[in-house]
Amino acid sequence: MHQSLVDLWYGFGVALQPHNLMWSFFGVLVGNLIGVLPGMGALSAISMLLPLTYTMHPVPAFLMLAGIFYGSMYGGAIGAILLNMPSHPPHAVTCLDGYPMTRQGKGGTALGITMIASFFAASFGITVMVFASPLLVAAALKFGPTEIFSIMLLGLLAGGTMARGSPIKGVAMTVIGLLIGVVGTDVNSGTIRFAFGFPELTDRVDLVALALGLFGVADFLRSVNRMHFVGTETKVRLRDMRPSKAELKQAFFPMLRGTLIGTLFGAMPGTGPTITTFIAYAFERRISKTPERFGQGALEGVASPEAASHSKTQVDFIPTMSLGIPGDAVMALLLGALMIQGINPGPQLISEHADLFWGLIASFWVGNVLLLLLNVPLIGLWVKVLQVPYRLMFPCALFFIAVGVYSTNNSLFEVNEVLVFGIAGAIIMALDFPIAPILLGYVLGPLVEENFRRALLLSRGNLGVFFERPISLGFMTLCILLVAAQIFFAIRAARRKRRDTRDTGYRAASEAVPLHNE
Amino acid sequence: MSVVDDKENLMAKQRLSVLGRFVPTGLLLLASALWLPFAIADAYPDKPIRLVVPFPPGGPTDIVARPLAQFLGERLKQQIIVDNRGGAGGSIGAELVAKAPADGYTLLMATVGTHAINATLYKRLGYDPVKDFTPISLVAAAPVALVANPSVPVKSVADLIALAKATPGSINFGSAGNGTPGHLTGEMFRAATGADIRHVPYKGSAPALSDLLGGQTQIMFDPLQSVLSQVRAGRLKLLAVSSKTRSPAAPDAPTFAEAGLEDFEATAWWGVFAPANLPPAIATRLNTEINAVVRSEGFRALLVPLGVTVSGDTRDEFAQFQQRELVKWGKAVRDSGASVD
Repeated sequence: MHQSLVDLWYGFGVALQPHNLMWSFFGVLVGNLIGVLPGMGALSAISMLLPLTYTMHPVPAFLMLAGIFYGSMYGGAIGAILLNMPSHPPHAVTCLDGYPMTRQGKGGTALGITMIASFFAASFGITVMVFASPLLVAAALKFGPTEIFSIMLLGLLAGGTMARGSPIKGVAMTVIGLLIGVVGTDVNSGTIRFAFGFPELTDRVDLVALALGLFGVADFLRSVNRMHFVGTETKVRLRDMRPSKAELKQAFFPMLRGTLIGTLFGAMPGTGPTITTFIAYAFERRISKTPERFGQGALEGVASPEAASHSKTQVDFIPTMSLGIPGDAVMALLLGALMIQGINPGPQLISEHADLFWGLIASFWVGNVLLLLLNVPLIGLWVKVLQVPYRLMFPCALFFIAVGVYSTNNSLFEVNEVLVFGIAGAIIMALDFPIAPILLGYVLGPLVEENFRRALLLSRGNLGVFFERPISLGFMTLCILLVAAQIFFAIRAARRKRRDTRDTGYRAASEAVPLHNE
Repeated sequence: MSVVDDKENLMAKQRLSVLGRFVPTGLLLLASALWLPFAIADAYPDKPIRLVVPFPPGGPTDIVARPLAQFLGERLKQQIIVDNRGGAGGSIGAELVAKAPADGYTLLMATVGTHAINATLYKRLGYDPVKDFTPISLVAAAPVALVANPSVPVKSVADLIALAKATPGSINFGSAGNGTPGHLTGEMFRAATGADIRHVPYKGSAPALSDLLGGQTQIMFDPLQSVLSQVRAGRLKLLAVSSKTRSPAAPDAPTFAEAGLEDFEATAWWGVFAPANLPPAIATRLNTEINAVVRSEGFRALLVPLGVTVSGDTRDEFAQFQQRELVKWGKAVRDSGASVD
């Protein structure tokens, strides 16, 4: 406990170094803007800026990339509340009550509550991270190849099955991701695999190209005809953003409940942020004495999911960095960025790269304070940016994607890679397959393979080793439970479908909001 | 190449740009003609140099490369960026440099593995350790240490051999990858003693070491500098070193010969290579500067206490040294029966 505080203090020392602070600031600023813009997720932004970090020291590089992520969370809420535009899927649910509030002239209040809830939830999430992490350090040396493989398997299974939609499709996409991850030079024998004669492929499929193709280009291709111009006359003044005492009181418990839900889901690998916010919203609606107010501008419907998304975002860094199992696609990308810097995720990360880990945690707080200060004057500006028509914005974004990818190796090969993945991604999404597990499989693939082979070398080829060692057995049991639960739910859903086809208002409402990019 | 020369040259260049605007072209041409030879000789390096370390950070190669990058950078007045590219016993990083342009801005911190062992060990290697490179200079050498996790009940090499024979299949040795000096020394040890030990390759020493500390593997062969701090902290047992005489950095550890293995000797070395066909002027300049670094007190002070011997040489000597090593390790690979699958 005491040690955690000492480490955190050290982390603040790292985060507040002018150089690191500058990159943190840059990250949250870009993230904030990206969050507001439709069709430009944190994922595209991080992948575009990723090549910039190759030559940087890992600490400022990672502070910036993480800043983009949580910065975009704040930005996403702005678009959702003021314009009914879920530019980032987790905020889709915020539209349901946030936009009605704007129409009632209470948009400022909604934003104010969102910011308070976000900051509160983020702080809570960070606190959990500070005190939970040392527990993992203690387990660090007990993690050998066997344990790492088991936990990665759990992460992959969870990532594939717990996203929206069919679990089988999710697992299929995870396997595709694993296969893409195999392309390149084998780390043990130096043999080149699946390069199809392209010398560029001997150094793996480019992470940036894959992420931008699947999440940037594919998304544009799909939404290019569906997006329509959104105009707004909303003016938000600082004065409007201060909620009244009664409103604060009304929002307090939803905020607390949202935070706890987010924290819980953050610690669980594979649960995306979108599920988290939808569950927080549904929960709030269920326990409310006046559920009919939801969808008409209920303050609780804004406070709870926003708090959930923020605490989830922060807590998500625990399994990502200390176990190497990312919660969603953005986390998988951040993990890839770490590995490019030569830093392997795992329990030993906390002790081996203390400056990075504690600096990052401290920078969360610094970044959240910056965001709080930034949001107030910048909202007006962001709203203006939104008035740029899509026919200008999409080509610009595509142009930046092309330039960003070209700059990774100064070669056109990567640009073509983006195009291929973009088209493939659009087709995959059109067939209603999830995209995120591909990235997850790609990032974790080499680690899974390396540790699987090593575990078998150590056990001299005995596969039973995964069930003999206690920690590994625990993860394997979880894997089996996960699969069993999915089968159970599938059977139950099939039965229920036969029994009744009644649909709840919430489900209808949530489906009215376009949900892509997950 | 003193500081004064460089400053003068810089001023001259500034002067040039001012002249270019205001005086007739003839004068400019004359001035250019006068300054041109100096401009070429001093142009290198005019941007940061990348030194590829073919292993992840924290291993023996990295330990040698980082001080070298720092001191060499100071002498060349350019930043030298260490680029860790681990995998396949260093051959992924080596191949990268083999295919890089020969302009002196991409260099390789080569090892005995990448430039003497891999050529025989790997069935298909993506580079030719002789034809694809310009040898620059030897930098350092060190013995390979045999270390064990404290939980392994052995006090000496003889204990270890006895344990491995008594409980076959119980002892695995980690290494920095296929073809690293640690791997080959382990295979030579297995061939010489008949002890049943199994090789488990990692991407580099650092990850292999953390599994050794965690007891996932029982023993490890690795260059002395990468394990010495853990030995001194009591987290690993040092059983033997592979040099002819004891290492001054670890005087208590016996040599393999003292431990009963006659003629058992292995030396890991590190040197700098550039891609083939590097312009001789640049190669000579790099050789001169690296030799100056290797002789400097600051560099020695960082590496000698870790059991590393530092020594430079001429480019020809280094090329001949590599040829001898290729023959020697080629035989060691065949004799030990080491293979990559």
